[in-house]
Amino acid sequence: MKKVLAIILALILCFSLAACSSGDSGDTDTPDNTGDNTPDSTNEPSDEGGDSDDTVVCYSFGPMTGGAAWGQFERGFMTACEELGWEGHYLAPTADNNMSQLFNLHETAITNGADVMIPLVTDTDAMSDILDTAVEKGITMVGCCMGDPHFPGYIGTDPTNLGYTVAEALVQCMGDQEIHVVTMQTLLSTQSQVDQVDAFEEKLMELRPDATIVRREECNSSAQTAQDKLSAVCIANPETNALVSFDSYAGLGAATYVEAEGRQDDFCVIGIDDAAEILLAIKAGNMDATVAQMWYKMGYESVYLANDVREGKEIPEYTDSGTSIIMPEDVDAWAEEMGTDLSA
Amino acid sequence: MNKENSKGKAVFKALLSKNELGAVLPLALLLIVVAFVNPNFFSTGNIFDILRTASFTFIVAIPLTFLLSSQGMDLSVGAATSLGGVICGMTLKAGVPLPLAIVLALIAGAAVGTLNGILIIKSNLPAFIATLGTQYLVNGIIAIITNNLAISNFEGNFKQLSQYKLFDQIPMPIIYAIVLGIIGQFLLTKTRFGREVLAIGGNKETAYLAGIKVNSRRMVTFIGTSVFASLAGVLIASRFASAQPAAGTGTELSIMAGVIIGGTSMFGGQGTVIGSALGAILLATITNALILMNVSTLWQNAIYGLILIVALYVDKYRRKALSGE
Repeated sequence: MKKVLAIILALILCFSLAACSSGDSGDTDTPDNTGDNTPDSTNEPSDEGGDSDDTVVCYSFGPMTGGAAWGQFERGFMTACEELGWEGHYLAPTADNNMSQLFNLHETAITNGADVMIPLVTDTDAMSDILDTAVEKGITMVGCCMGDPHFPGYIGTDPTNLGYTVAEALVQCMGDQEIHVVTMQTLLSTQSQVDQVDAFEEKLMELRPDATIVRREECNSSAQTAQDKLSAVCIANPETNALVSFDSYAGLGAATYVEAEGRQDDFCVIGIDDAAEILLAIKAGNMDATVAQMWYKMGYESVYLANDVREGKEIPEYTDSGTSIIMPEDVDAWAEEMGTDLSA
Repeated sequence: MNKENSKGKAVFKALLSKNELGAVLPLALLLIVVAFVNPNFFSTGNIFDILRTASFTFIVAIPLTFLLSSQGMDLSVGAATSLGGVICGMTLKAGVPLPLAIVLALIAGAAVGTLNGILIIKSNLPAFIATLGTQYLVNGIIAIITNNLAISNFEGNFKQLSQYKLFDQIPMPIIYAIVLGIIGQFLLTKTRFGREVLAIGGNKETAYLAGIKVNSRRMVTFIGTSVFASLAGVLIASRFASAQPAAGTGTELSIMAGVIIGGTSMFGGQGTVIGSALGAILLATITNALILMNVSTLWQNAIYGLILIVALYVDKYRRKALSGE
């Protein structure tokens, strides 16, 4: 048995060595679109940022590899890098949403000679030192999702605009009915989502002063938790007749609740993003609408904004990648435009 | 007076002898409090909601009871849960009939368990790190094969597997959990296999000298744990008609906490499937009850943690009192 294990381990080692050696070619014309989780070890660290050759090395970051939202961001980012002839790397933590790992990846990118970075700033204080280092090394930066004084501008879904759009979608779907709504986000501690929910509440009160916010909840990106919590909230507060989600799994859990309880006619769910299962929930009548963020556009345009900065052009402090409300009648056209497969 | 005292002591001792006390006491206290604050807690719909939530946890907790009883541990159950759902979803989308898709998902789970068994039993690697490695490996494989995208829009009756309600009231996962729980409790307490597992947990060397096939029994517990975790993954995918790559992420520690609170010893030698069921119900009840009592979500994690610590203290006190220390 030990011999068999030894042979297996030896084979794994051989494969690893083979894989490492094939990466030496430095194929910058065909960036890997599959989600490069580890920086390319062949990039020589540089004190001033950048490789010894002329290829621009650009890093972007996300809280996860793939997925409906960040997968699109990565595709947009890689496409733009390819168009500009840059070497693109998309880095994400091995454990989804692990923020400390995400911070470390920014440091890794700096150490590995990034020329350009699209930092994902989730906490400006926590990342301050890292961004200081990037500035010292002369790395060009354009932010993603949140602004920071370390870079001239950022692109993302403006939390306020998103919150407003969600409120408008809810009011549109509810018509003249009373509104008693639960908000559900990934974690109550996620600052960008807190801003979105604040903006949502502000706009809702402006549009429908009679509306009530029943509860703010979190689901930690678990549809199970979302459904269970919504069930309990509805028992504790029977007047609850709507849920708006700021986490796509919250929407999915709420849609399952609506289907299980047969509440399609008296409960409104507003989802977020445009994953296939969200669009299918709308088609099935278990969700009323979703607010899609333009993740591909965000990834794509972030690279061109960084290019403008490198060329000495001024960029706006904030570029809104936009949002779009998808109603049931829009689902098929949207899916076709985004290349989302809704077939069984 | 003396007679009454001794009778009271006897009742107290009988209570202490119950492994499940660690889960029962906090659960009873929680039920009393929530009953005062919000009587709606006891509505049929809410009770079935709690039991449905607990049933997914319990299905994984059954084999985990065996595993922990034999001094094992497995941090890859969450990953195996995700894998089960994803494999079932992918094979269904490929046109494989539902029963075969479920079998394939269970085989994938068995492969994870076998890997754990080889690493821990044959190669003597520490279970904590080895199963953590398996967790990362399996999650990585899932990310690669799905690109972290959920699989949805299934044809046929896949949804009915979890969403069907018996007598229009009882969600099917509760039925599965009860059936599997009865089998599990029978296996643990009434069969040679169960006694051998407990003996291995008590002392491996003694068990070996007594002629018990220690390695093969331990291997079965590892494989069983991953297979049941995969089954839970299939049921979760059916519940949401969507196989999510991260469906089981982060569940491993809470499931283990449920098993331990239920009276199964982390150090092996003692286990109770009924206790694990109560532990799973306690975990599901805490979140539900806190919402029904309108406790702010900001407080929920802290209270959740406190209740778990109280449950562990009760269990510790019980063991200490029984051993006469």
